[in-house]
Amino acid sequence: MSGRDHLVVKSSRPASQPQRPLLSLLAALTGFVIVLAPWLVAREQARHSFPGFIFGEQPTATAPEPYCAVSKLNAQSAQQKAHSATIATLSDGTLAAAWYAGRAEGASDVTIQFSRRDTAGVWSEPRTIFDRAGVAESLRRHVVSLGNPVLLSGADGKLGLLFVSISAGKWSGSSINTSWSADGGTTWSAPEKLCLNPLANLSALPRNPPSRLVGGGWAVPIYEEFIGRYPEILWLQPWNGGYSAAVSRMRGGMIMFQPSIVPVSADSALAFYRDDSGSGRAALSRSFDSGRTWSQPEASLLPNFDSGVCGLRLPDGRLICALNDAKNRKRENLRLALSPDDGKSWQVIATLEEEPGAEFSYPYMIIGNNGRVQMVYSALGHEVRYAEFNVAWIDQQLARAGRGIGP
Amino acid sequence: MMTCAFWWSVAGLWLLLVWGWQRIPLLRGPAGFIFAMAFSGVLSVVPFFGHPLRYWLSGLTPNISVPLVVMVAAAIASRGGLLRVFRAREWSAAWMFGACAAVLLYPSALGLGPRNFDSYALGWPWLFWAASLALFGLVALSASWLLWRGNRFGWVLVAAAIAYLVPVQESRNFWDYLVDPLYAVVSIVAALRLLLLRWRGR
Repeated sequence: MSGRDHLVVKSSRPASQPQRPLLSLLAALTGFVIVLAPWLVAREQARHSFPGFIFGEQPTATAPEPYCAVSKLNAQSAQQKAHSATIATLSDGTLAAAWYAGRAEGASDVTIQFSRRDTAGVWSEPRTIFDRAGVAESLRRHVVSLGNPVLLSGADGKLGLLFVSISAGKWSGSSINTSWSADGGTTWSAPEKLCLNPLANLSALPRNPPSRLVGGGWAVPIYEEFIGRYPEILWLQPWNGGYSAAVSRMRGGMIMFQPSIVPVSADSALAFYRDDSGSGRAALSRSFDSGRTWSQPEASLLPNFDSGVCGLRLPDGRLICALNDAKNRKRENLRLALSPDDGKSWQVIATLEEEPGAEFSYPYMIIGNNGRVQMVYSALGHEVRYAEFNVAWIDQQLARAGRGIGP
Repeated sequence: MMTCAFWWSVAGLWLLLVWGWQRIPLLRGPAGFIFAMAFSGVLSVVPFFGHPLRYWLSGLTPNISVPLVVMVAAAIASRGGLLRVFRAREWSAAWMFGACAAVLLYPSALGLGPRNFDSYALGWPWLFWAASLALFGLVALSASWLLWRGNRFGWVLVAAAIAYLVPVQESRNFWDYLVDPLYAVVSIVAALRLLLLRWRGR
C-alpha cells in the first residue's frame, strides 16, 4: 500500500483541467450533495438536541418526623471489592440498585450486581446480571473487566443500565455499554457498545446520576480518563425506536472529572466536580442553556480531596452534596453539606460515616417517590450501603450543626 | 445477530490480513493470493488465545474507516493483478486526506488545544447541527474538488457518507467513517514522505 509506485507525485496530465468538464462537474456536484446528505437528514433530529431538563416533578416530603436509616445491600457477599453503586426508582415506585463486585478493581472476576427493594422495603439478595465472559460474547470482543454501572429509569417503564467494559489496561481502556430491561431488572437485553471516542473508542466512564430530559432522554455525566481527565455529558435521546448517543465536552479538562449534574431549573444546572489539581475543594460550574455550554469550574467552598462527590436538589429547592472531607486526604468519612442558595454558600450538616482507617466513597443520591433521599455508597472497600433520609432529618441536622461555610 | 457492523469489521480484518500476507514474496502469484484469502478468512474466525482474532481487534479498534477498507482492497487488487483502482494521485489524495483528518481530530480528542472543544462532537450532526456543517461541508468540498479533478478518491469520501447513512459501523459518528487510528498513523508518515519528495523535487 505504501510502495514506491504509490508515492509518485506527478500525474500524466495537468490535474486542474478535467478531460470531460461536463462529466466532471456532474460528478463534483453529485459528490457534494451526497456527502452533505447526512447533515441535511440530521436537521429534524437536531431540533430535539438540548431539549431541557425535566424539572419540578419531584415528590414533596410528607412525613414531618425526621427519618434516617442506613443498611447494607450486600451483607452476605464474600467479594473483596464492591464499588461504584447506583440507585434508581422504578415505574412502580420501588427501588433498584446496582454496583460492581469482584476480587479487585479491574479484575477478571468483576461482575455487575443487581438488587431490588420490594414494597415492604426489603432488598433482594444481590444477583449477577453481567459478567465478563457474557459481555465479551455479546459484544464480540475481548473484555478484561467490568465496572461503573449507572441505572436509568425511564418514563416508559423501561429500566436502562450503563456500565463499562475494559478492553485493555485499566480504566483508561474502558468504554460504555447499554442494556435495557422491560421487567424491572429481572431480564436484560444483550449489552450494546456505545462508540463515544475516536481513539479506539476507549476511555469513557459514567459515575453519577443521570438527569432526565424533556422528550424522554437523559443527560448522563461521564468522564474520560486517558491521557487527561475530561468531564463530559452523554446525551441519550429517543430516536427511531431506540436511543441516539452523543457526547459534548464540559469545561475543566485535565483536572476536573466525575461530574455530578443537578438541574436547578428547566434550562439551567449546576455541576459538581472531583478536582484532581490538589486544591482540596470540590469545584462547581453552571450551565444556563440546558447543558449545551458550561462555565469554567471554580473551586467551591466544599472541602474535598480528590474523591467522588454527588449533588442533589431537594424537593424544597435546597441543594445537598455528599462528600469526603477528611483532613488527612483519606476517605475516612462521608458527610452531607447543605446549600440554601444554589451553591453559593454551604454548611456541613451531617456525618453519615466516620471511622479512622476506613474508607467510605462514591456517594450516589436520588430523590425517591416517597420524597426521601435515597443514597448508596461504598464502605470499607467491600460493602455497598444504602441510606434513606428525609427533609425533616436534614432540618434536624441543620439545627444541630454549627456555622456554615459561606461568603 | 449478525449486523452490518459485524460484517464490516469482519471484512476489514480479513482485508488487512490478506494485504499482510501479500507482502510475503512467497505468497505472490495467483496460488499465493488464493491461499492468503482463505487463510485470512480462517484466522478471522478461529479462536486465538480464547477469542477469534476479530474479537481482539474489535476490542481496540471497533470502527475501521471507509477509506482504509477501500485503500486496502485497492492495494490487494492491484498487487494481485486484478484491477488498478488507485493511481498515484489517488494514493496521494488518500494520504493527504488521512493526515489532515488525523490532525483535525485526534489532538482535540486527546485534549490538546481548547479544552472545552472536542472536534469529535462535530461528527454527530444532530448534536451541534450548525457547527457540524464545518465537518460535513469540508468533506463535501474535498470530495467535489477531487471529483472535478478526476481523482477517484473523491468517490471514497462519497462512499463514506453513504456508509454513514446506512450505517455500516457501530459508531454513529461521521469521523469514524472518515479516519481511524491505523489510517491516521500511516497517512501522517506517508504524507510527510510525499511532502519531502515534493520539496526535494523543486
